Amino acid sequence: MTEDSAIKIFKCLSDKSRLQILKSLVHEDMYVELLAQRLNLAPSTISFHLKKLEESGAVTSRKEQYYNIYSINESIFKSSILDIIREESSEADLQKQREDNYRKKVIENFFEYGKLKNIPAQRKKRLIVLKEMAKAFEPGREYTEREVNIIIADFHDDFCTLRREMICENILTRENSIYKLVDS
Amino acid sequence: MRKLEEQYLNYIDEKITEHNNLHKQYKADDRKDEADLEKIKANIYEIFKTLFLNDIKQLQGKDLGEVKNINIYGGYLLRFDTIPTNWKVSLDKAIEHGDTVKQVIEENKLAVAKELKDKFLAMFDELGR
Repeated sequence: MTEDSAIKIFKCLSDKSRLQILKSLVHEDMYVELLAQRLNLAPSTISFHLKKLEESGAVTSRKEQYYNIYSINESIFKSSILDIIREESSEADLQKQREDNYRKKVIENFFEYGKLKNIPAQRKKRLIVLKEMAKAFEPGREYTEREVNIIIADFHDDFCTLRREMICENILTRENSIYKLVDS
Repeated sequence: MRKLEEQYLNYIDEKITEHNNLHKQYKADDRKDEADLEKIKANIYEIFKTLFLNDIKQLQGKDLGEVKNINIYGGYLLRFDTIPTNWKVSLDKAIEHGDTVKQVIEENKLAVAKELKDKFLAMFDELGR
């Protein structure tokens, strides 16, 4: 387990209601309404906590007929706290983790449900945003300008600026009006 | 201040106190997220209280006697359409993308706004006519 995952799970567990949910799930898999009834909490509150537990990896869910059934993720809880503390990360790992966290934060701040809210003014952040958008392009495939515009317009209305930026930052190449993703 | 306005403000104050107390209670009980939800609700009551105070200030000095017509509160009632608009948009997006955490927050905000509107209309029916 990485340090980041450990922190995420510990943060998630430091809540009485979430701990109660896990205590129920340790006995049997359950759905939201049943947990709400047992713990005397509103179903919306249970859903709220389950989402957080699921994001931290503490629980998993599966669809059964009309219900989402939640189960405890035993593998997470089998690792001992001592193992987590003992786990060492190299400086390179830590640096990569810091960079990943920064990238994730920028993406979270500038994108909402896959749409770019605004174009970052700072170059470092803009580059992260452009690289994230570049994931919509297939490596090796050739695109016409119209196709590029359509793909970028899915993220933001100002596709001209963003298309030019992708060329300037060497994320896309343009030759005879044909665009291609630069191999990274 | 008219009786309706006084009672409505008292009601909002009671709700603010109630949710702030729940916030403290949940926080002390290590239920931070639920405590935060209570704080959000208290803040929504605060917002509408501020708006209501501002709106009734505009009526001050006008000789309206006893309130007979709900239209004089039209400005305040309109706020229940304008203020929650973005919350509704945000809720729809959250549902569409399965963002349960945001969904619960927006549902709570909308529920408070609805409750305050319903309460105002009920109080007007009881005291305003």
